[in-house]
Amino acid sequence: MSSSSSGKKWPLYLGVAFLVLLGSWSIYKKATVYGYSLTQRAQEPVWLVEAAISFRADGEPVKVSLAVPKDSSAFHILDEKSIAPGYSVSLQEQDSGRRAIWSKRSAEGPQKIFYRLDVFDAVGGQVLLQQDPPPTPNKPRFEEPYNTTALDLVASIHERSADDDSFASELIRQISQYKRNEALQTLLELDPDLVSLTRKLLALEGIPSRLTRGVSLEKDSRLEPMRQLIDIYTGDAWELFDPTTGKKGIPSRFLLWQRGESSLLDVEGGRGSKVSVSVIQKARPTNELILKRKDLTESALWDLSVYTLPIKEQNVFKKLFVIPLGALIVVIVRNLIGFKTSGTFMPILLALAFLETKLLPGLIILFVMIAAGLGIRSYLSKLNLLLVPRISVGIIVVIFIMAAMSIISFKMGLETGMRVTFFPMIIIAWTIERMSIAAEEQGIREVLIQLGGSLFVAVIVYLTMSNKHITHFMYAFPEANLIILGIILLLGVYTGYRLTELHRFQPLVENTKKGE
Amino acid sequence: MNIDWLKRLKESFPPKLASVRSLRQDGVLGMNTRNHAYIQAYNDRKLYPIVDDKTQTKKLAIRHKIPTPDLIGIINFQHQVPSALELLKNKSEFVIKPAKGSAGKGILVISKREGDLYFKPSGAKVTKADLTRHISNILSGLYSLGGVTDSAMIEEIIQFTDTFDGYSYQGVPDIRIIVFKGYPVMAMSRLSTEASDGKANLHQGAVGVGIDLATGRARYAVQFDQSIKRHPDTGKPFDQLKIPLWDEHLLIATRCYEMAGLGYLGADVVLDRVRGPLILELNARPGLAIQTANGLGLQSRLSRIESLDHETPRTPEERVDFSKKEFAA
Repeated sequence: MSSSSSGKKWPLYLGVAFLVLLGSWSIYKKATVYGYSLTQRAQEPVWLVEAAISFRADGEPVKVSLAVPKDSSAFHILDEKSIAPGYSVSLQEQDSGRRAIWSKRSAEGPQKIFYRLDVFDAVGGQVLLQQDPPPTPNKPRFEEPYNTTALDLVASIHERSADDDSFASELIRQISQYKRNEALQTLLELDPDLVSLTRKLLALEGIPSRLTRGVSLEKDSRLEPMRQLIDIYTGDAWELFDPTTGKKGIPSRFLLWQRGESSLLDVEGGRGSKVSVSVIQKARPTNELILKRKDLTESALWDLSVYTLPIKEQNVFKKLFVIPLGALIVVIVRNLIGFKTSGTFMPILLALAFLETKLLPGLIILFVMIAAGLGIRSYLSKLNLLLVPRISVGIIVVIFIMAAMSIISFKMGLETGMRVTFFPMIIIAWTIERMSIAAEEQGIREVLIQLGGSLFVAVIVYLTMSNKHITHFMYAFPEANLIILGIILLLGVYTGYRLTELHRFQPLVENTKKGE
Repeated sequence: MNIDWLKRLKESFPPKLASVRSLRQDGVLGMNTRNHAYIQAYNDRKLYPIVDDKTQTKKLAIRHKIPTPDLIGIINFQHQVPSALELLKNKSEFVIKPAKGSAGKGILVISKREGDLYFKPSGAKVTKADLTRHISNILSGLYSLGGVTDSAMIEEIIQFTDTFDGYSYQGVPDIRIIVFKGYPVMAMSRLSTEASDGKANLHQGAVGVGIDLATGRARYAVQFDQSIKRHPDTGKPFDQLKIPLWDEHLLIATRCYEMAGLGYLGADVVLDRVRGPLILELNARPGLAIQTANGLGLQSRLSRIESLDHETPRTPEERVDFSKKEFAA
């Protein structure tokens, strides 16, 4: 017998080996090559950057144009959206950069437009600044007496510097400490904008410069104006300077928003426009972000990943992908251990309901529901109804019990009681029916044993399916289900004893020993 | 009875476990092996309806001239229920069974009648309305597996012998014979007790009696898995129990192999005082309790039968002779 059936089994073993290998290989590859986090819910920071535009509309057609950042090697855009009720929005790639444009046929009064950007991987400092040498700027003229002051200041810095680079550094250093500099104090009376003054002084020396706007992601901030930096062409390359700190280079965790001469914000049909920026740092699961890293999305593996689905569907699959594990537990309990459960997969359905209600409230709800159902059912049995009408009555009774429990717990201020609807009512109705028949024929004890068995398995399945590590793993690596499939296939041909049989046939073995 | 149960629970804790090796040594057949290596391997699924639907078993048995309790009628639809009473007009003893019932559920035995009033063997009264309601319940699937619609089968009552007097608390036991590839391999009888509340279920305290294939004598008996020598209610010793017409029991059970085509089969045989052994029902998934009742594992007997040359066909009589010699206690 063993030879003939094992002869038939080898294709199965081969299939199982294939499934297990395929599953393991895929998990290994995702974990090592693509950096999928294996265990915990690894998280990475994501910055929610929100630009709030406000202006007063004149009651005419309104067109708002805001420069917005582009995906770059320094950071990736996870998501971007605009909140502007009544406005139509479009994103345009222009020579000067990317712009978001909102328009409306007519608007009046104060207007608010929000543009939100979720960025991650903001490493900073790696933006390529190289570009063709710009033309030498025209020398500006200040009105007197400011012109002399400006020329003197430039001349004194020129004196102390060797080249354009050191000139720029020295100028920016003085600008950052303008309060201690009389010449600068004077010039600021004419042009109170520090950045534009700096650029004018650079132009006096014949050094090209441009304005650069950005947002610091170092810490959370609320409704602050955008930071302005100056890009200075120092002979062979563009260098970024921060006029407020005097520092050279891109500040760490700095989101470059816009670079160049074009304006940050244009508003047609409105006055008093202003843009301010808020930054909030949040943590998001690593595995969600991996997909968005551009270089990976080309891999075929990703096209099949659940992470490509919309969030709502993802949440459905989060639950679906742990069900095979529940099925495996049921197979183990029934075929390896040998416990009876009422209804083969009822424990899984109960566990799914427990996931929504949490364990203890779920158990209490279930007990109350079954007890009430059995009570009403015992009255119904006196009416001698036929089977299908009786089950149907059972379903209606269960619905009423659910409604009653919801209402009572709501009045008592217990929110969990309202989650009673997560229990599969048809399953509950059948369970009550089967239990009441079993109680009549085999006694309450048998009923309690079966219910206890089912609940025991349901609790184990629940504990498995609610474990954060396990759910994360099964969700991040759905191919683990191939391995589970393989194991279940193997258990399908397991012909050894069940644990309960070692107990059941223990007297038999003992008696034959006595007989010898 | 509750206290009994508590006491048993205490005794069975911590549970005693036998080693896998000792079970294997005694050739105990486990549920997984039974399902995989025997039921799935030898029982063609399309033959299951023959044994799962007692009306089909009955029709097939009549065609094969295998004795069964006489059929009075079959009720398939609710609208036929009134005609059932017509069928029973002149009967004062009969049995109503669900065709797809299991474990004896829904079987109603009427042993006496006074006008429009019927009586169960226990003396409980049954009215005509009770009868029609019982048939309706059967038809709606109350007693069938999975609640599928069912038929009600009405049979003649069995005229029991006195063989089991003193060995049964209530009702008369049948004999379960396992027939593997046409060879009887093991037999037992389940005797109801006071503890089992008259039910023939070993879990509930019925006595399982292993019966020697060669002689039809009780060779071993257990209650609650423990070996016993006498019936717990009457004190009657089991070594005096011998089934009359034993060869005929074995023969009709063996002939069910040709009739049903199932390689691994449980045949339930009951002894009628007038008609001799009758096939009560067949089972495509006979349980493993027969091993406990016999204090013997099934595995070695099954392997012995598998090792036979099945190319040359043997008559049922030859197969019965083989098993009697091979598997004598």
